[in-house]
Amino acid sequence: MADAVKAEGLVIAYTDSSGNVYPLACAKDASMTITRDVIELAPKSVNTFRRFIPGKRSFQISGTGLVKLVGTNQQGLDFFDDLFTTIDTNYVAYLDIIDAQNNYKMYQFNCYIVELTLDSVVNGFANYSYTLQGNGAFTELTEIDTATVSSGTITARSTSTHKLVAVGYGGKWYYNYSVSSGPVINLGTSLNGTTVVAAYIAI
Amino acid sequence: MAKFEKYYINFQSGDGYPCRVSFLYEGFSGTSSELEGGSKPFVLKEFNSNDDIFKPIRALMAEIEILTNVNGVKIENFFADQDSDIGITFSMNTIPIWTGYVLQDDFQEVWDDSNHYLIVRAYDGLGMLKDIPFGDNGAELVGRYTPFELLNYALQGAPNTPLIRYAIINNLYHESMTDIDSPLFQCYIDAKTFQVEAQVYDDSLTVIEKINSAFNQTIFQYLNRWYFFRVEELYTSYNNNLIGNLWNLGVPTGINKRYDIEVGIDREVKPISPEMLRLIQKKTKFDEIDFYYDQFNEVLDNETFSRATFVNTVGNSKYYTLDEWTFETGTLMSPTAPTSNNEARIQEIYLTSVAGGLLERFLYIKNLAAASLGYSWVKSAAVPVKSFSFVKINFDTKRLNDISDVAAFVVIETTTGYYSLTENGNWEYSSTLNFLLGGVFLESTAQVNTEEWNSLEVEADAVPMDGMLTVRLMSVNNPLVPVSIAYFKNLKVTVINGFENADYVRKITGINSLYTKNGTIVKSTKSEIYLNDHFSEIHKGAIFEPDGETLTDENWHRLRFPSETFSFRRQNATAIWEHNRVNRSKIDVNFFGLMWTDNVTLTPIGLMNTIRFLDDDPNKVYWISNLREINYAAGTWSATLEEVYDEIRDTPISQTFEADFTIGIYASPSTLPLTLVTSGGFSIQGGNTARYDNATTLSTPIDCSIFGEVSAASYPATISFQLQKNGTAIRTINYPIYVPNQPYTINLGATTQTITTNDVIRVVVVGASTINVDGGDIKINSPSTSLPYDTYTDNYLYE
Repeated sequence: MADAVKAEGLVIAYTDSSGNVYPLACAKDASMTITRDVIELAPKSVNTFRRFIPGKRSFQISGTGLVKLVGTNQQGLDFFDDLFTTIDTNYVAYLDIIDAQNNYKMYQFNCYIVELTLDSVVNGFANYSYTLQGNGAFTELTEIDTATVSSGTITARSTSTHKLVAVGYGGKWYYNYSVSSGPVINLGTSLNGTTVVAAYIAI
Repeated sequence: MAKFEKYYINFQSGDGYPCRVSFLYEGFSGTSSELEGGSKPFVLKEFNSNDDIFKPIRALMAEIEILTNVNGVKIENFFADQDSDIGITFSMNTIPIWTGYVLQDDFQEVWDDSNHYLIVRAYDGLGMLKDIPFGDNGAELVGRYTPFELLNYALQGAPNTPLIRYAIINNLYHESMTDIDSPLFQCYIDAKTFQVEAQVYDDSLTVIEKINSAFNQTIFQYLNRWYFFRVEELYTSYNNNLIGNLWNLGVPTGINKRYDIEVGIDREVKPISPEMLRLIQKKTKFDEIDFYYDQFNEVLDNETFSRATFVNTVGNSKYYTLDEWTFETGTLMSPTAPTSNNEARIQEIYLTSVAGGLLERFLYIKNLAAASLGYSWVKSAAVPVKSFSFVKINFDTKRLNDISDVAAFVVIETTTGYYSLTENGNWEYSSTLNFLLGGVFLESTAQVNTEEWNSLEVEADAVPMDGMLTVRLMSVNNPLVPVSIAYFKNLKVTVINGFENADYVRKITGINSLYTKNGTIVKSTKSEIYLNDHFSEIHKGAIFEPDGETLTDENWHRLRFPSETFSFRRQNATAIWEHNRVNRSKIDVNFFGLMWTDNVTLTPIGLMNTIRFLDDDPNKVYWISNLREINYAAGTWSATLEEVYDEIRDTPISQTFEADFTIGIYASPSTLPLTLVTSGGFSIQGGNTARYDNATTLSTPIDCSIFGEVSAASYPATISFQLQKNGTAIRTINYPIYVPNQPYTINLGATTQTITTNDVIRVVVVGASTINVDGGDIKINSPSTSLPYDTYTDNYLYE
């Protein structure tokens, strides 16, 4: 039996200019909508219900977060530098889903930032809201290992061939791990015995 | 030079097939670059958006949407020196579909550095032919050519030419042709048909239009090759295939298939919203095809002297040799080549120098002094003239010395001798040609100074016999003067047929074919064609048989109707009449799906396809009368379709031959007279014999019954009633009689018989002294080979 996926387990991350993968920092919420065009058939003899054939698909992602200028992870505001600096980056982004039982799905896609709103109210936190336009199709990630933490580490894939995207366990994705020489991923001994999922992209 | 790919766009069609647009640049070398297509990277549409299945030219144009920005391609990247320097090819599922050229004056780009669309348009090269005079790469065509050769010349410059990969579906044959090959290869047209004036011809597009419209034919690109398609071929059941040939490098491959796309909600192509809109193409009251009798602009080859080969410039004159005329001396019967003592030249005299304006242009024939009187002359090529036609000749002439002599010989060579035109317009006969025979003279008199230009004109009596006409422009070789020269200009020869002359009635200018329906119908069609069976070899549009010499007569048939004997013009009218015979459905459609299958091959759709709505309108076949747009990226297309065949209404209905025995008293042995009731493919010969005239072989029983009274010379007697086929009895009833005027009722019906063309059927009575016929008939069922025609007439057109 699978658990319901929590928000922490459904993450949209992206690859920054350094090639690192980060979720949006201080995100409050996010939503993705995939739509599919349908073409209505129009024969002479139509029954009560209309009939359709599928057309093309597209998707958009929107969300909100708190504005933060400096942080260890990528800031939402940085993500939107495109709109400020007029650079059109075709971002490589990820839709990562995991539940508490380590059931997972990971997809890679491209997107452009198409809308950004900053709003602030006196005495309140500044918020940002954004819309990303998906560009092209999804690719499901299959370079994923499942391993049990031992001595605070799991065996990782070589950095010469793979880039670590995220590590997931307990129904959450973590993007702050890296691959050390070994190659291993150091997760800390407190996780010894924990089964984790490590997702990669081939370089 | 050759074209190589410089840019390409790859995209997926809306129904899931890989597509590629290639930009091919003349002389390009290097690596091809990929461009980003817009949301509509390649759209194909018909240039002429009229809803008309008889459009003689169905050019397609493409619209290509490219996503670019300040760092990408721009309009300048698609400029070229020549309009045909940048080619476009488009393929779908690796199948080449269309080839064209980038239009050099129809670009569109948002003037913006950021990402934007650049629209490049391309055409299939047909439109460009409007600006190209007809000829062979600029050279004048002289003589008779097949329609295919003429089309090939007219298409010079278009993509995929000269024609080595093409298709022809056209099965309209003259009786002199074989049905193995297309009629486009088997008849001839004089290139002067397309002459506007000397050395000025119709543009190439007009030539294609004239040829195609005469054959009810159209041209379009389908699967990257030119199709020549006679629209009438579609008027056949969906159970019958289209017949034609695909040509590759001179090798034909038979077409024997249909191009039906099945459209339906669960079929290969699906109707999509917005809903189809059904209209009606109303039937017509009249369908009229006109053909006008237009004589060649130059009856004689190079009659205007406009074709000449430059020799030299002397002073303010330019000199040329005259083309297409023969320079001769000696005797008329045995001419010899001129020597250096003789010279024939075109001279152009310019104001002050040859850089000045042209003052005068003429032909001269110069002779240096000779020991005795002789002649030299230029002779035209022979042209055929018909008996009872009228020849008229005009020209201006003068001489260096004021002397009288013959200026021209106009001679008709016939099978029995020569007729030479006299100054009085008579035709003087001789079995040989000689200088004493006829001639048009320039006479020096007190009123006529032959050293100045004089206009001579002779209007001849009716031509006495069919023959070949030549004109000789003469120069005397006078021993009394050191140099004698004759000058000529403004030659005009006219040959007028009797009815065209028309002194007492209005002049006939042409003829039409007219189908007429009864009743009040407002709509009619009327069009003109430029090719026809003809009475004259020197009129425009005359069609010649495969020998290139004999004029075609009114003996054309369609492959599906081998016994048909219509004129070429009536065939044209019939193709239009048959479409307009009844009200036809016309539908504006929007479809999804760009591929169809003939149960063997998956093929992209195009103008060759016919459409069948198997769910909604299964008896009809539709054809695309206007291809509004094919949007390959969306996988959709929209068009106007017209019904071209209805299995219910357009299938010929079987006919019955019925003839009544003619009531009367006849001696025996007697072939009983027949009176025709309905033809059904038979005619009555000699009043008593039924002859089968159709081509289709029948296999059918014959119903025959007769009654009356019969007598014999003595009694008892046996009277033999015989139903005969080709003189052989196929059913005999021997009927005994015992008294005069004994009544009889005979059933002479025969079991299934094979009846072929020209078989004759009759009833013969043997052994009677008299036979009294009171009634009876013969009936034979026969499948009809054609539709019941509306009233058809040929009508002359008057001035």
